[in-house]
Amino acid sequence: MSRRAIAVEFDLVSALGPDAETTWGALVTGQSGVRPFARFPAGPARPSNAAFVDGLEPGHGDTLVVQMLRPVLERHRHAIPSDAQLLLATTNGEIEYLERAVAGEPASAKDSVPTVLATKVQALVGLERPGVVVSAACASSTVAIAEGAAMIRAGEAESVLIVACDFVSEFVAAGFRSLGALAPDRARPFDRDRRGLSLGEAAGFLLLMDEHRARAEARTCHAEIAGWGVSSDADHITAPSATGQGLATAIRKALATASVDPRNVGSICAHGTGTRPNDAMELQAFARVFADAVPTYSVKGAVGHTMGTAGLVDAIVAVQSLTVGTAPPTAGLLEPDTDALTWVSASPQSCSPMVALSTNSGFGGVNSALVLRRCEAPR
Amino acid sequence: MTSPLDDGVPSARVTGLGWIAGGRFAAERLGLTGSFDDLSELRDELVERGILPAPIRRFAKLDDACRMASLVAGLALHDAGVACGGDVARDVAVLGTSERGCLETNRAFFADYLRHERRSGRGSLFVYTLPSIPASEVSMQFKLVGPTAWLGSADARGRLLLDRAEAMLRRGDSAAVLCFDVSESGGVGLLLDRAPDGPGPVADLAKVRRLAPSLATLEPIVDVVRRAFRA
Repeated sequence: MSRRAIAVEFDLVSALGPDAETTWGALVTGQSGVRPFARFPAGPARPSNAAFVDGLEPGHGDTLVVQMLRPVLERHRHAIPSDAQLLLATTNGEIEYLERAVAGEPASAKDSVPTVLATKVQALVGLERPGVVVSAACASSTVAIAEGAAMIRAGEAESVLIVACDFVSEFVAAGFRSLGALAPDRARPFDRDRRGLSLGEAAGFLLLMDEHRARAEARTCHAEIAGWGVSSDADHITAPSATGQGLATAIRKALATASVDPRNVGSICAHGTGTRPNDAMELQAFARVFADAVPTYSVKGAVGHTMGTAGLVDAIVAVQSLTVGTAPPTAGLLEPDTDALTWVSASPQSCSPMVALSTNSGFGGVNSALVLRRCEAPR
Repeated sequence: MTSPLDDGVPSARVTGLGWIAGGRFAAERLGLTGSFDDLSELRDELVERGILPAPIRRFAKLDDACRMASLVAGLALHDAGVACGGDVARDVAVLGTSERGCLETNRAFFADYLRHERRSGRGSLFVYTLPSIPASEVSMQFKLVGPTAWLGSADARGRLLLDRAEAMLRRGDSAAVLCFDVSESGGVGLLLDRAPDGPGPVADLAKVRRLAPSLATLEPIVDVVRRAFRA
């Protein structure tokens, strides 16, 4: 029997605030958490700006991702069933262990392997079963949500906890700098003069539950994860496909698994990194699938590119957007690029509150899409 | 996770299996074996013997995990009789696992960055500092356009990989799934599908799993699959 996967609980910490509600409030009013950044030693690799979470203390007790995760998960621990299957999405997790070890400080690089973090999260939440790490570059958490929803639909699990986290490390900043991907000031997704991405950090969770159990436990239904699709460009290690074919395939798969007609999609939470190739590729993909422009936005000018957490942030924002029927503005957008005209806006856009699409792509050519449906929407 | 095998639904089947270990390699269904001194020599031999349809692109630039993943994937695909490469895209998912993710490449990237007095990282190293890149590299080398991901578990990563691959096949996420478990010194790759018929002998995965003593890694299934192919 096919079952629906319901989002019954979620929260996150981002540069815009300590919880999802604060983050949403800042997003819809066009605020940005991208600001001057001075976490690690000054040098060419340190970005001048990044979207960082207030109050994190490097080198003091917990690693930075655990400092982000602990308060979020502890706030909701009572609502997370101990039999939930944990899927942890991250790209670099606790990479500071490796940074310290390589720099000759007392630390073990092996502790940076993400399966170690999964064991910590399992203990932090009090889950019965070991966690599984799902890593698919910057689409990691979208792929994890897709897998979690698929497990519930297939009856393999009754509840799945997707946890995602990544932080702005010297390691990651040096890498993105070396690729020339960082914006000199701030990410401006879909803008005519966009010049790169802003790094960001965030951590959070999404609890999915089989609809029957959710009903039996009188859980709040925030949205249904109605469809999902994942594909690979099989083309280039860093550059997205110029045609958007791979992402279009992922979107079509997601719409098909949700049995949703493209005309019924009310809004799109795009990956929208602010790099020229990514944003152009996404618009190509959207144009392949949708006959008319759909209200589209990116949150990365506001919360930065949160890497493995990006898909979780986007999914949560998409759920919030469905709840109120408003697509938040694209922070950083001044003048939409030619192909983005009529799709994106620097102001909030009203949209159909029934079905939303969320998309992410990542290094290695991975593409992913989720279809989220408002709970009371007709099937 | 609950194994999708427990409900009596017919399992997936193994259509090809390749492995590399201790300076030896094999494609088990076809009974191809050989030895080598280093991975570049192995790549050349696999091309000469027609096992790889073309040389692995950018082989010298790949990190060890990507080289190993590409080679075991090539062995498994050839073993299954699947001609991959060129511009023909195939609906095959790629799921990879390993004990330590991309730890060694991470270490190399950051050490290089520190050696250069924190001026700049090397982009050519940075692109391999994601656990999922070996799976993506396999998808690029063989033009496999299904989902790709790295899955990790502190518990039993071999079992995890097979559970997820079977679930993906059951859901119809892709027509076939290429799984691999690699380290810097060796690896195992296998191709799974659910098609009812196909060329040559295949190994029923449910039977393989019942006979494999442990699935902490994928390595224990090699002997079982070999026997099933020979049966």
